[in-house]
Amino acid sequence: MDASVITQPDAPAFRPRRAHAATRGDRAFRWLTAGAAWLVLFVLVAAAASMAWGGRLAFRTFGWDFITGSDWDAVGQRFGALVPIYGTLVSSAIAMLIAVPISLGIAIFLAEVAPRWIRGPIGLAVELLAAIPSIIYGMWGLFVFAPFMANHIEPWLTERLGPLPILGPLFSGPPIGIGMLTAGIILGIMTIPFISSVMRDVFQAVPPALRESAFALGATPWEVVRKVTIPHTRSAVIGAIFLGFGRALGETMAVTFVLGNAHDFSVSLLMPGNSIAAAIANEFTEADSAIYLSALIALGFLLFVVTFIVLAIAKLMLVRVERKAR
Amino acid sequence: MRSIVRRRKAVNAAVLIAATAATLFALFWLVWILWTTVSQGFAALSPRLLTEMTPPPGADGGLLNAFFGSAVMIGLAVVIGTPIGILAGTYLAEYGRRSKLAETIRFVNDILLSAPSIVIGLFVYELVVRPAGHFSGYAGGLALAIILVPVVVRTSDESLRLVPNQLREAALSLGLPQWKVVTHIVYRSAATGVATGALLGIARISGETAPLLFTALNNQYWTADLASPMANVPVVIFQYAMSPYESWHALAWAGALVVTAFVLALSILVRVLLRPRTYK
Amino acid sequence: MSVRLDPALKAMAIPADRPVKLAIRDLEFFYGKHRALNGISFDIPENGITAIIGPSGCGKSTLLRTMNRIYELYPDQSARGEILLDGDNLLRAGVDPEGLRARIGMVFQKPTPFNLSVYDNVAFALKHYERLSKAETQERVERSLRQAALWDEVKDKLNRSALALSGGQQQRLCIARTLAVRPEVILLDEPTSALDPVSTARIEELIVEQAREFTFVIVTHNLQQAARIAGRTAFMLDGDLIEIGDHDRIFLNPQDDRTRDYVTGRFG
Repeated sequence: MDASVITQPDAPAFRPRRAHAATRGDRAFRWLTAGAAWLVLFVLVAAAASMAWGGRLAFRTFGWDFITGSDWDAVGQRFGALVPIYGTLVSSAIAMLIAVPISLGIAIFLAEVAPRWIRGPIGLAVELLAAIPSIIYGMWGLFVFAPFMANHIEPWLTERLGPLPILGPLFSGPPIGIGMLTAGIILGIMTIPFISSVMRDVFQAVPPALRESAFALGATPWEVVRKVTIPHTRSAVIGAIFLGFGRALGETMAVTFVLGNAHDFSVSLLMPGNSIAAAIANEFTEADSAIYLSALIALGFLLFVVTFIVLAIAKLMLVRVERKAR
Repeated sequence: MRSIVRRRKAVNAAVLIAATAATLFALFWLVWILWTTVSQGFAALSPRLLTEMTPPPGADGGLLNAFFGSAVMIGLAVVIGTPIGILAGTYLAEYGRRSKLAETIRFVNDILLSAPSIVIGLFVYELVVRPAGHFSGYAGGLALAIILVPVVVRTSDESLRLVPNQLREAALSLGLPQWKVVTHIVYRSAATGVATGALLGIARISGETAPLLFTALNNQYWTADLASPMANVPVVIFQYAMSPYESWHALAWAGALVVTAFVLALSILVRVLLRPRTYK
Repeated sequence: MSVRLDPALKAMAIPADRPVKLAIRDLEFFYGKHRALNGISFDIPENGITAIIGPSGCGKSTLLRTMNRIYELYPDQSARGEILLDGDNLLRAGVDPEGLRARIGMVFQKPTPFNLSVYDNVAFALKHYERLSKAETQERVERSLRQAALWDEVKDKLNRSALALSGGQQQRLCIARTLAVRPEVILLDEPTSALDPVSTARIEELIVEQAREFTFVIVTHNLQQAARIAGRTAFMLDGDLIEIGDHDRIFLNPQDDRTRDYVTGRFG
């Protein structure tokens, strides 16, 4: 092989009949797809940046008071977001109290109890809970579930739990149906399919040999789940919970209907409250001053950052399991 | 010894019964919500839904302009979002593969998939509505497109990666350039999966309300002008349901039934399409 | 099983004193840091059939996949050394892989029909390389299908999906579509290992037939196959070339003990 050939990148021996068109096409297509992929990153960064920019007036004007203050006064133009932040966290926490055990139960049911033929249909039915648009949850919550809570559940809660020393204040007040507890329950129902489908998938990915050897030792199905399945899938189970939590934090329409859009702080879960997403949805088109608008966008920025962190944790936990499986 | 065994068995039975109860609990809500939607929606269904515009407070009317606006904006979102999603998925599956960049984009894409949709609405408000000075159908379509893209990216990426490498090797071994192999051979083998992604995306955006609140807003009248505020079913449902008027409530339920039926039908169709997951 | 081949045909397929088509020089291959080929050198003459045999994992498929640079699809794989095609190193930078693969085609172990009609499977790559009229394309498709001994079976279903063909037919279709591009060298990576004996026999026949015009390099773990069709056979072991020679040398009178052990079935 002489050197002269090496230095000629387009030696005739290897020039295809339509070489240049082909390479150009390849390069163009590659750049096109890479551009589309970069767009995904761009959207994330641009969304965060644009909301930080839109909210800069509120952040600058109120500083930390924006997060720690509980005054939300459109007329006096003072905005502190503690009430919606508190509402977001509490309603999502209630949602997790409901969704986590129920989802775990569904995953156990599908893995250990249900006969094979019923697993597909039941799994599908549970996942359909995620397909129902959130506005339907909201409407149903407003017209059906909130009155049900007001008439049947809340009076009972107030009567039984109201007099208790520490829990009492959480369940005091008139039973109006609209409030943190109702919103939290609806959020819980909405997040069940997200958590349970991840749990089901990772449960099914547990190597059969592991489960079978536990069964061979005489373990009961529950002991297999507790001693083999859950330890083996622990980080994915945590990831699934974070995924559901991230969903609940950002859910808008379902809670907007049933939270009540109150800006006064109240301890009772039966009283109207607010959440970041609901406040934005309710007030955005009414925001009549620059600082009001900026405060709402700043709220959006906070929500985005918090959900990003929660979802990132979820994703990292889930990736760890994928790696293990690979 | 025997009592321990009995206790273990009892605990096991209790847990399995609880698991079954949890599943029934979840299904109970599904049935309740669907039952409400169907019974309320059916009562409110009428041909006027498709022949008349949204009425002023207290009056009767239909949802024609809202259906039209939703269809236009969903169409716009599909036209913008599907090609971008498929191309990005192509990059991840065909070029990026397991590289750092590709894994980062998958990570971010998965987060966008679950990110609050109201935030996307705010983003498009800042990006389009505020500079333009008015709400518009374009902005609504763009917001929906941003929500649709991650769904399509993920399904495209996954279904393209299911295409066996041998097929790519065989096509490349004929001297075909890679772009032609991808667009003519690989896409064809992954067509069902990629199409499913688009359907899944449509199902996802059809009921989206939050991102339209401050982009398309709403419009009481018929408009085909994408540069003006546009009526759409979800926002109409929101406003009418929150109103004190019975006739508006009825229209909201009718709209809810149509949207729910459409979205659930699409979701089930997707499941059916995806079932034969093997590639010959 | 046995294939009866016309001895005259076989003789024609392997003319003596042929020029060197592919010259492999000090070829090393790496999967990441693992070295799979330890500096291999040998010549492949023009036309005829050269077989590469050896136990699985010996590097024979790796060697084949280097010859048309298909390994480049995988970023962690790399090759060092030279493979000269008509005297020009095809591994050097600047060689356009598409142009190379149009000259060196490849058929794989499992049939890989495209999800297209039978006709389009053959015509697809053709259309990319040559501006042919419809009639010319049709003629070329028919010719290639005849060369691959498939025409009679598919002439009535050219517009049906290629996925509906049997496994053996699919593999012959893959050979037909490779022939249609008119490459100079055709690499066959265990092309019949997934097929039944009858299909195998048909493919062996067609390869021998076409070896007058094309240079075939076949990797096979079927010793009888190599003995039946190959003019020259190379024996590889653990990434090294142990021995290369004509039929009699390798199968009747091997010089190396390891070759003898392998062809007499003592291992592998």
